[in-house]
Amino acid sequence: MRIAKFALAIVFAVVGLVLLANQRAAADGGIPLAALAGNYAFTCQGTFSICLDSKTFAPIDCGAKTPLVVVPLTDLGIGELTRDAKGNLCSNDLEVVSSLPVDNTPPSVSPVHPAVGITSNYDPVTGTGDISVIEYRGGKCIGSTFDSTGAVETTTFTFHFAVSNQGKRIDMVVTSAVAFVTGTTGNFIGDFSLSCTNLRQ
Amino acid sequence: MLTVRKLGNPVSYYTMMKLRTAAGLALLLFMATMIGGPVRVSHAQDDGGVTLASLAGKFAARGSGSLTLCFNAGHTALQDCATAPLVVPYNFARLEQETRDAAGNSCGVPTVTSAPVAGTTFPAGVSTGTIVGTTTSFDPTTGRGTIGVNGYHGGTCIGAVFDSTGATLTNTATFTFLVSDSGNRIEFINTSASYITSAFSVAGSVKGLVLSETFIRQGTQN
Repeated sequence: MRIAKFALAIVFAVVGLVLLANQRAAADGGIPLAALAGNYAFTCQGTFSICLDSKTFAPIDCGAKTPLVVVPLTDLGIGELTRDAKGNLCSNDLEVVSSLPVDNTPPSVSPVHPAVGITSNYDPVTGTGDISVIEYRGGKCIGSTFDSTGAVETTTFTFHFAVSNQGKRIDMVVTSAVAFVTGTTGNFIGDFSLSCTNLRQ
Repeated sequence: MLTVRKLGNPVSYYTMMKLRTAAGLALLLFMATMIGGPVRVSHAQDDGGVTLASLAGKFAARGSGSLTLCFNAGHTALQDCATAPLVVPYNFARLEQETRDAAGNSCGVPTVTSAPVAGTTFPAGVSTGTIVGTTTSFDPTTGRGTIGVNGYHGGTCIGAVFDSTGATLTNTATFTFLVSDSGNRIEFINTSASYITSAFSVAGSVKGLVLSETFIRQGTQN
């Protein structure tokens, strides 16, 4: 009986030590990409500018030689995304964009639109990496995969990101942004200063 | 029935009591082992706040703010704002990963995107660097502290230690910070900044810096 009691105590202690050791390994050895799989809610905010034809006010490539006007905007976005163990993700995003500085025109509210992301690199020791994202008009997310039926590419982004709170939070900053003018050519986004936070659901 | 059993088989009764006691002790040991780390920190907070040493570890941060850059007439180079003809306000967003040691020293790598407030046709400027910090004061009771940082172009972080190989000092700054969430979250606000003339910076060319940043612990406390 004493042996049984002693064994019981040892089992509890060993299991506890192993679990604690695993937690500390996560702290010391970093957060693996696979640990980021799951559902997240996200918010984004910042500023960016777009280039418009000075006569028609239609979007125009910011590198165009024709006369154009630059319109600074503020952006707030909210959405949800699903990420798989390889760092692929699919999200649904809604954005509200207003003039900067604000004026007497109402903000523009985008329809909810999907975006597909691929993690291009990730360092589990520092918890930092980069993601390439393509936004679409049409199509739909099925978990982290994308049904591209009827989807048209509209915008591409790259993000640098950093993971925290044991993989429950991911902060991101936009490092490139391209909004297509025609098909998948041209870019009517000029400069930008945008960042996002993903919180695990 | 229980009384009869106790009287009828006292050896079995005491054995059961001991077994229950042993199981209870084992469970306590298990629980204590599981939450040993956090318990240590919680006690520190209950008694006297978060210790500086408990802030050691890896953190990720996101921040944003605005500043004014001063340029020469051709908009080709930075110039001291005292004489510069061109003054341009910028918004910026930044992401940072840093490691802190138990003494309050830190080394971090920020990625910053900046854009003129008025907008331009050009893509945002994206820059990286190395930020080396030294905690200059910390009150564990309030969780408030101050930190002085040096910003470098180049260099690398090896944990909280800075390898200055190839690094050029570009600026110095001070921050006030406040700790929350049992030492897992730190809010920073910039309180001063000064740029130094170097191959990558010009003294006096940056004014009106406003920056706040939130650091979140990446893993668990040691």
